[in-house]
Amino acid sequence: MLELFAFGFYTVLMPVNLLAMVVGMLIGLLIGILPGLGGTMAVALIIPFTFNLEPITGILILISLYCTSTYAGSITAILFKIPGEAPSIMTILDGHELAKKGQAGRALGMAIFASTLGGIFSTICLAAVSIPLSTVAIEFGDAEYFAMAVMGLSVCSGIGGKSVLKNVIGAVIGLFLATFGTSPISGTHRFTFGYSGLLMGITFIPAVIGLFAISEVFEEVERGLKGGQREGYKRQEKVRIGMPTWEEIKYLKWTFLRSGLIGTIIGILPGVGATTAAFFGYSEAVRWSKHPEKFGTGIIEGIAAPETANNAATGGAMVPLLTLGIPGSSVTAVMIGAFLIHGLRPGPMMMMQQEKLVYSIFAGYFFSNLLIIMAGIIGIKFVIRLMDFPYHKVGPAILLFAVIGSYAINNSMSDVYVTLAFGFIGYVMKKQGFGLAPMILGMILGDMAEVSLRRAMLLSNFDPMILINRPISAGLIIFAFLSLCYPLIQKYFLKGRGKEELASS
Amino acid sequence: MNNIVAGLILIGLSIFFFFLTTQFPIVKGYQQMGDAFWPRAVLLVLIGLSILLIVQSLLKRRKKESAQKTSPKEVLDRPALFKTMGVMIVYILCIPYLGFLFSTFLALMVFSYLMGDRKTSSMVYFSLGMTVATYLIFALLIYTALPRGVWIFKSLSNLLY
Repeated sequence: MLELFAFGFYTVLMPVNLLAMVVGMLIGLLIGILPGLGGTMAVALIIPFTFNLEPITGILILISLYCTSTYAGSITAILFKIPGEAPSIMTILDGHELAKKGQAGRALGMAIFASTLGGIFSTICLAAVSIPLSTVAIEFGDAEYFAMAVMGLSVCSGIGGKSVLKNVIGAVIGLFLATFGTSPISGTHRFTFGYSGLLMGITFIPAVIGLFAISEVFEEVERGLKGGQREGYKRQEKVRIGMPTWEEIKYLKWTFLRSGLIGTIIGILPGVGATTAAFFGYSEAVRWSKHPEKFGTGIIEGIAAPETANNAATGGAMVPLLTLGIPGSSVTAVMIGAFLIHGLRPGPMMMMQQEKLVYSIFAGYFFSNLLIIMAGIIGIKFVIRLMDFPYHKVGPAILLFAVIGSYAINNSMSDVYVTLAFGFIGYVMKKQGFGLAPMILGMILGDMAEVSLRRAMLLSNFDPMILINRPISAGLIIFAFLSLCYPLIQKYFLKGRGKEELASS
Repeated sequence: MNNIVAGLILIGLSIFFFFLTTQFPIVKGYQQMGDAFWPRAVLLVLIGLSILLIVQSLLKRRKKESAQKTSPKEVLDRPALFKTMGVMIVYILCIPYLGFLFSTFLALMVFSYLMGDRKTSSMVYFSLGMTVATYLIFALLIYTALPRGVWIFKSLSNLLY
């Protein structure tokens, strides 16, 4: 065990891997600072470029990108009141107020410190939780795998768009798209229309690139670009980062711990991610505070709480992916592509057979979170100036990366056609309010669901009770049902609460 | 309204694909729960959910009719969108004929114009720079077999990589 950790750190500290993490950090920083460019899209675009690298090197780029982009949104949130990434929305409340008081440096320093701390806290939890969990998961049979796929899918109601029904429809469309190509058990061709490019099914990474990158550019163009400039940006005078003092850290120790725990747990829960974590981190900090009325006026707890929580969620989100093979957020759903491209399938088998890779991932998370400190310094000094970088340079570049990226995976134009087609599908679906992330979830889990269901049925002589008779499988299916209904339940309760508030006022 | 159309389109597509599943060859030994089983199950769920979507939006519409309509209209630049989409299709269809590098250069020029760049020099430098970078990284560094195109474009690309 200790040897494996040592090996993990050794691997990550190799020059090529360190360089990979710095590259990932810089990309994450850029993505985090430029509003409108999200981590999911960046991960989708970068995956093809990792094809020629060692598996761990490629994965480290993505991990570092993920951690940094979650942090970097706080820079623009504090300085300009614009969240560069969704998870930093809560940081605006106190961060921008502090900046207005002329304490921008102190706010920025706290954001760096809290993000790093939250990330490292969740890395420790990731290593501690995923190893025992995977030893349980390795015993799973086909029935459990099917139940797990269903549970993974049930998450769909909570991610993506606003409408629960439309998110579920998105996931079912994804499930259907996964049936294209050669069928898994008997090998007949399904929906190939005689086109050899479809024999392997719809290629996952090109589809993801189309859905998240091309459709995004289409939307941005449609929104109108007014000379290619975004609004709401004002250049600020120089700021100096002020790291928190020892007294401040001691004063905030419970805030850090609380937010770290909340963030990690929310990250582990499938379907809710860094944005929700930041929200809960903040609201719990208000609840436990001795002076809740001061929140929102520019106090340091208001930055420490959400920033610790949102970065803690990045480590948590990796737990279900590594141990069960089901992604817990849209970024990790896309990140699966980086494993698949090297023939690795995340899940309990990978945890057992690729121990070295897994421990390197843990170590990678640790160092990626340390790199946030560097990211903060570089970002605040240099990258922030790129905020006025015009979209007529960013947009065409994204389109070029999408085309070359999808082509380079297999050197095949049919992958580029898939990307193009999914760019259009993604645009139309997003316009209509259907979730793209649920669709990706369906495409990933479709195969697993079909194969395990059919195999379980064959083994049990077509007795569907096998899915419910086994305790773990039954438990997972019940959990799946609850998590599918959770948004509805939440809505119902919120509605009730809203009425009470109306009545009391 | 939109949701009803979307629901109807989804139902139509589902029925079409369901019809296709009846044409799957039946493999011996897999008659029960064969290859058509899973796609059919998924499609039936999809049809059910689409009907639910239609019903839901019909109910909502009735509610909305009684309430007043107050939705601020977003200003959308549809012409620019359709042009960008069109150029994207033409670009990808041109790659096998004009070769990757040449069509990419042209497409980048047009894209940056469509997205609001009006300085010729900036457009040319940007497009040329991106194309050269793609060439250096993909053709020279990692030996990607970029499409060469036909006729004179093929001979030109043979000079480069």
